[in-house]
Amino acid sequence: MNDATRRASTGRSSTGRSSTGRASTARASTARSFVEPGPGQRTLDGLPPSTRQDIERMAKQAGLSLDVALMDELCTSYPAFEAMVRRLPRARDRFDEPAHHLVAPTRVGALEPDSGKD
Amino acid sequence: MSEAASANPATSASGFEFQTVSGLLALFRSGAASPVEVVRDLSARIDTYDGGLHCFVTRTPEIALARARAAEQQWQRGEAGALTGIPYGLKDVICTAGVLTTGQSKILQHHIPQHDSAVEEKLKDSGALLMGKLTTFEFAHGGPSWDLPWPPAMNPWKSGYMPGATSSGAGAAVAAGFLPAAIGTDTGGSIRMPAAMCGIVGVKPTYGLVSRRGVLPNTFTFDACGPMTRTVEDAALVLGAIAGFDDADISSVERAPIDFMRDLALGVRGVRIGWVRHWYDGDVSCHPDVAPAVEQALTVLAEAGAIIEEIRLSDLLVYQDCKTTISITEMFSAYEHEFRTRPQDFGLMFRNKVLSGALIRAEDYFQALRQRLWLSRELTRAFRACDVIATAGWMTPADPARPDKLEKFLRPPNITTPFNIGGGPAMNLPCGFSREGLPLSLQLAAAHFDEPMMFRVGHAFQQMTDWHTRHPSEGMTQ
Repeated sequence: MNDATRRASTGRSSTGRSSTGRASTARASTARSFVEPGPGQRTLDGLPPSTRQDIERMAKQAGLSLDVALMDELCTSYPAFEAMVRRLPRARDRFDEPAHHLVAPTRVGALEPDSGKD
Repeated sequence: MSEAASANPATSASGFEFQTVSGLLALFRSGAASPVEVVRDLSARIDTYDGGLHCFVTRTPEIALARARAAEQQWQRGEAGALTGIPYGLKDVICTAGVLTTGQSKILQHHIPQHDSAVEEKLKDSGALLMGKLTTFEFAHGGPSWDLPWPPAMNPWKSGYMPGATSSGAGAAVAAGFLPAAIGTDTGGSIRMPAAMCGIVGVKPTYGLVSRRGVLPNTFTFDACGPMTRTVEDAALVLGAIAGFDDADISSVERAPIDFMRDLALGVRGVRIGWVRHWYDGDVSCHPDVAPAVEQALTVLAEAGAIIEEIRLSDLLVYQDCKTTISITEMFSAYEHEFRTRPQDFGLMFRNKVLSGALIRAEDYFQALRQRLWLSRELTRAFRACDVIATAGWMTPADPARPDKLEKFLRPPNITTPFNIGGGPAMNLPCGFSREGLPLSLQLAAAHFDEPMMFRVGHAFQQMTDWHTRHPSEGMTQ
């Protein structure tokens, strides 16, 4: 049994605290890291949150026609998603590509799938 | 941790309800049981208990019996296929020709597809028996919801508890002994989370291994169909029947067939397991019984000869931000027409979690895609050093049902999501019980198309433990 598992079997971490003792920061130094510090640490976190007027304008630009109740729902839920999107790293190298791929479609005719619409 | 009872009052005299796929095939092969008997037995069990569990949106007993009669003859003639006579259910986002396929949504409440999905075609060809369409969350997202035309599924382990999302009916049905196997879909953990909460095995295969043709989309670039069973061996059997290239799915990968049973008996001696502890014991707060259960499972594997090394990957929130930005953007695009024309017909939970996708800018979506490749490379580096990555299957046991409480717009980060970002295979399997008597789960993941290695480790674990042989009783009410 190696060290990590020996700790697991005794329920103790390398810090000597219980494995449920939330000592992750101290333990991190003992774990082999595959995280590469790299580009993209700058985010949009510092922007002010969108106002209700901003959200209504964006919804209109997106072609949504929502009644007051549905707009209220969107204005309640959107801030959490906005904060999430703004946490994404932005300062990437220009050649840092997205996870896209395009393969030549084997089948080029109509697939005649179910439309999924009634 | 609780020693969950294995004595189960909810068992029948025939004992088919907790037979595994491989066990049933052996019974059919020897002539000790027939598919027709099994279908009748399981149907009676569903009649008795599904009123409380709500696993099924639509049942298909006539289809199952007709196929069972044909299967019986195939076994007698020695012409049985890989899954001849095995009952199964499909999550109700998987299209079935002539059989209602609703996506659990009012939007498709009366939708009867003209074509089978690729998965249903393959299962039919393999001789398996469709028992029905299984409860999910609306279009496999959001929820649990109580404002849809059908109630959410419930957990057979404890009355009033949820079975997890979103292949919830599939997880509950397999755990309850209604079916030996079901097919779910996994976009951020929707096979593995209910597998964890229901104490069964759930497999998200490598993206592109199983065709998505005819599966109502959640997120095009993450969706994967996979098996939910009670054993790893059964998962390998079922995956073998549904995997394969499909030229009608642009993400389908053409490659030589994989024998998923190939390495099951090899054991774990010398297998390198990277143990990601900070995801469940640091990045998010987990139930106090999770860490000891996972670490005990790793001890079992280490004692069998696996080499365990603690590793560190990016924080769960980093994976989650990337995944959710991509998901809600793609989901909105898939259901944009309905959001423009009849948004009120979506359930509140789905609307709340997807409508914001309309406001995501193209540049934000592409920044998330760039982040996805960055994180995928991190996982690739890790899999060059480890044969398998192990972590918790979920951060908590099952949650109590709260119809009065709206689920948060964004949950705490999912421990399953990183492997959707990476695209490789991942699997949850039972590894203990919480103090409340609810199942806990170990998650294993492997490099792209290395399902045989993942199954090898999971099968070895199940050969050394008996968590997968425990069955629920407390939530099984008539």
